[in-house]
Amino acid sequence: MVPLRVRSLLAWAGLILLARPGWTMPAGQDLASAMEALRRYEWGGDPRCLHEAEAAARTRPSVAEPLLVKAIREAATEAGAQRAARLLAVYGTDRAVPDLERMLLDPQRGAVALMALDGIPGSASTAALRRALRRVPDPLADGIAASLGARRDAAAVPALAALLRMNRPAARGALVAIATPAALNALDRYERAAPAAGRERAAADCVAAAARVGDRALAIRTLRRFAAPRYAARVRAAAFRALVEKDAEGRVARVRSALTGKDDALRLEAVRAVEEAPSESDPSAYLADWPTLAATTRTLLLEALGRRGDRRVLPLVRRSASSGPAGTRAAAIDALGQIGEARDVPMLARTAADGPAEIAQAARTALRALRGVDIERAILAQTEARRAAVRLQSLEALRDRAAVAAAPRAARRVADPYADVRRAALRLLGSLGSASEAPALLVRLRGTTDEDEREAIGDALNQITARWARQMEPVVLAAWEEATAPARPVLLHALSLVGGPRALEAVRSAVRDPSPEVASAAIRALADWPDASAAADLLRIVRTATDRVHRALAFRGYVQMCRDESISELDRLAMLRTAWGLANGAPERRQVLGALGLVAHPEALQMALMCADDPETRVEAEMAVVGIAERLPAESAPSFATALERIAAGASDQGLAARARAAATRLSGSTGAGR
Amino acid sequence: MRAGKSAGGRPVSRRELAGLTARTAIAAPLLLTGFPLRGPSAPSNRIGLGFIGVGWKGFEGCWGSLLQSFIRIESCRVLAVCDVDRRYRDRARAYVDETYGRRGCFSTADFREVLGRPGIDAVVIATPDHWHAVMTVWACRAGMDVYCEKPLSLTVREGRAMVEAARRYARVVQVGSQSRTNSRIRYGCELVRTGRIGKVREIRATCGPPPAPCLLPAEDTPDTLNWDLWLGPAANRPYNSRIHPMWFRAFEEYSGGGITDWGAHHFDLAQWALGMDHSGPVLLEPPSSGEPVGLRLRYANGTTLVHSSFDVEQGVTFVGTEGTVNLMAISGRAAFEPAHLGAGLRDPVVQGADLLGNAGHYEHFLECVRTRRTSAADVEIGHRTATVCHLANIAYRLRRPLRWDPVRETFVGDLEANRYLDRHRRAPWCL
Repeated sequence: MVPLRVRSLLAWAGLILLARPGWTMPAGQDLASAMEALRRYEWGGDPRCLHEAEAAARTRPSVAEPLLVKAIREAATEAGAQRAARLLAVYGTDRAVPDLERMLLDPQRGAVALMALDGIPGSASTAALRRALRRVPDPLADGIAASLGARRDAAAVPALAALLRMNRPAARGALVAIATPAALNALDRYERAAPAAGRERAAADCVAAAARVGDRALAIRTLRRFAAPRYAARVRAAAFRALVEKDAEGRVARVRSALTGKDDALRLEAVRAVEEAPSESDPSAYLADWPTLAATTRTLLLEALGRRGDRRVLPLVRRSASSGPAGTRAAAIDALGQIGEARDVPMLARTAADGPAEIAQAARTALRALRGVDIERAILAQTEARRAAVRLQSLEALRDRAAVAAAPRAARRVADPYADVRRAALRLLGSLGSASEAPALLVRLRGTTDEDEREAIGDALNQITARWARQMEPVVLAAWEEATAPARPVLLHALSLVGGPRALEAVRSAVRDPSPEVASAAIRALADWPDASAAADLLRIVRTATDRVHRALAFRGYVQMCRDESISELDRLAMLRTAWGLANGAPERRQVLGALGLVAHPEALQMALMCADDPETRVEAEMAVVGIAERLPAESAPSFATALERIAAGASDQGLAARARAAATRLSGSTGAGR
Repeated sequence: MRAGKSAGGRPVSRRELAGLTARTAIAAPLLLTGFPLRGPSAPSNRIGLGFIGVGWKGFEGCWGSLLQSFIRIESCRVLAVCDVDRRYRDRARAYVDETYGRRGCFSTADFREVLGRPGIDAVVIATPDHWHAVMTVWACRAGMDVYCEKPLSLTVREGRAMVEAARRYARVVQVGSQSRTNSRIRYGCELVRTGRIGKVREIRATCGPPPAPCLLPAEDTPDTLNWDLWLGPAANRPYNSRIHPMWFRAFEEYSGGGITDWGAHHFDLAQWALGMDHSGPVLLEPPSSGEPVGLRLRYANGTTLVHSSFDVEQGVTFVGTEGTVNLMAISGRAAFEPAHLGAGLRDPVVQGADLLGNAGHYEHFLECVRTRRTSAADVEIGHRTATVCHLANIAYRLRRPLRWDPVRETFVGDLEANRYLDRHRRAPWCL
């Protein structure tokens, strides 16, 4: 997240943009005055002249252009000259070129004139730059060379070649960009004469130019030379890459040769060439030597084929996935994840279940990555496989694929003979199931004696209920009626997610259940009740419970209900007063204060203030006071401003202090009042 | 290679490392022959790195800084740091020396000395945006691979030049779009790409406003700062403390404003999910109100991408006919409607390996350097995303609809707009 200060600055910058001249018609100063101000513009000065000048350049170019040229020529400040040049770079025409060309030779104005000329397209400006190339001093010559290179000015090659002989990097870059045969020849001559320290770079530039040159025969001849072993690896690699592009007829043979050769640089480029070959070309043509390729090469190729996404190589990939070194098999399986089909699913599921670690992991990833409308159907079929491990992997993959359609099948697997498969099915249902699958869960809940499984069923049930509360209400209530003791605690949580009077009645009765486990779960359910209808029950438990844990749970749940802002403030205040009277010790008083802070009523504020002197509750009391004061209408509690000021003065939390001060100011009705 | 921390502090499980190491081990014989390390006499199999720009994102002030992230990775070695601000340079060098337990890290204010230094295989560029293109192109020419922070470029033409250089000099160039190797983000984009939310009707991406011209008054330049080198290819102007070190983003001479700052992340996710990594929008419609938000970018397939504000929402929201996905770059926070769409989302640590096997954005770069494969955040992808940002800025500036040809990378029949596709670079800092 961008820090607030930076966002503010950016917003400020945006406002400046809004004030730019293209957005409104200029008013006020006439153009001549604006240009005069532009001529003398200094950084940080009044930008209006800049807006005027830009507006004029856009709307009255024939008038503005000569004035901008004059502004550069006669500029009193560099800032003014620059701003004028920037406008000419966008709006200048051939008419400005002669004057700008003359200014290139002016040591004071040359750089700025180039800034303007560089942006003016067309043959006139190109010719001007070309003429100036040999006449301007060095740094400027580099800029002109770059501009001519960007313009692909073939006529500039002789002059650039002369600069190249003086070892000017800008000339090299320009010649590479122009890439005519003459430019390539200049670079080639330079490379042959280059000292050892610079020969690799010079060779790389030759390759780059040869890759662009239009003369195909020349390009291939040049590139072949630089693909030879005596050149540095990166030069050979670049030459090879360019050859593959340029020489379509020889491409397959070249790639095959590199794949089987000993030159690592070319081999890696060949792998890349296979991956990036035109989509219409069948990559199988490059792989004719597969049986003789080194394992490392095969692995790299399989990875590349996966990325390429071309199904024509599926037979090869499938064969590689089933045998060979581990790394190669894993790469093939990865590739299957990208290009595989439904028929590959059984093998992947089997491999995911019991392959060697790296291969099994690749298979799991592939099951999740496979695309296609029939893939999920194929994985679903594997949930009925004979081997439990395969069923397990299939269910996990379906869950990770968010395959909602798998929920009914997973419901069947809840009764699987193997515990791991059952757990996988439960996890899937928890993520993706609906009320339709709940009966299967409930049947299992009734039938299991495994505590952990019961808990897992409960988790799944609760996740489904949280998503589908309304549809689950009759299901959960019906299950409750028939539930045995061990299942009841699980269902109680679901009942609290369902809510409503019938569920509440069921939970209420469970509070009195002789089983301590059921009673505890019932109290927890009440404490998590979605609305305040359980408040009275919780209060009763607080008042009558002999078990400390039950009491604490009920108290917390009751206070939590007081945070429900759909209950009126007066009612919440009354509840919290009751809770306060029942609070056992500082921790519970602090809970009450936490909820009190959400009640926008002067009495609540008063209650909180009363606790501010107690060191055990001071912090929560002050937070409650400030929270309430922020919510109160200003006119309702002006007398509390002083108390808030006191809190602000004494608070160690600077954020709270600032809030208290702000609230005090608001309640007292004026800045500084009450201080 | 021991299990440890990946970039950003996420523990890298042994299983993840095993997956990476096995593949790397398979490629290891290639390393032993001296490729792709430069020169047959490379002292070790570790990839030598030079850091250019060790200020905010590079090292100084940012959580998960690049230097701190890379230095934890066993397969590389930081050999040089470069910054035009001596304070940052000295602190970074001290940090590297202390981490390695010995002095030896080279430091300089001039990046050209890093490019010419033996032993350095790749550079990490975390300078202000206006330097990215020149440094990347020059590094490619010098035979180095490049990790370049987002946004990739300052102009459309610069981005294309960077792609060209990477291709012509056969270099790995990866952009710092960390979302591309975040499994949660990838999961969300895959959901969109595979049609799980139906036909995408609209995408809303949040980022800040466009930049403004830098008209700040002159101030005294600090002694520690080489201001002329900081400016580099940008036009000469006096120093102002609001420009350096991190508020340069607000100014069009150095950056693309809030549009490129978070747009480079959020527009990137939109491009990715739409399958537009080698293309872009065809029509841009700025709001008639003149507000710097609300620009609509239309793609050829009919989908509309809307520039939204952080005041309204966060991240990127894909609205489909059958669901909605919201993704937040960097954090990887994801939200789905209906909720079950997120059932397959797992904490990458728990899962052990994310969907495509990349173990962190920085490790991924190093893997690409070793194997020479194209990065998942390749320079072309970064260029196309930055282009969307630049087009947005141009549309806001001109305040009228613009038609864009993503194949030719020009505006259709619009000379004025086309003049904004590049900018002048001060000599000698030319492409």
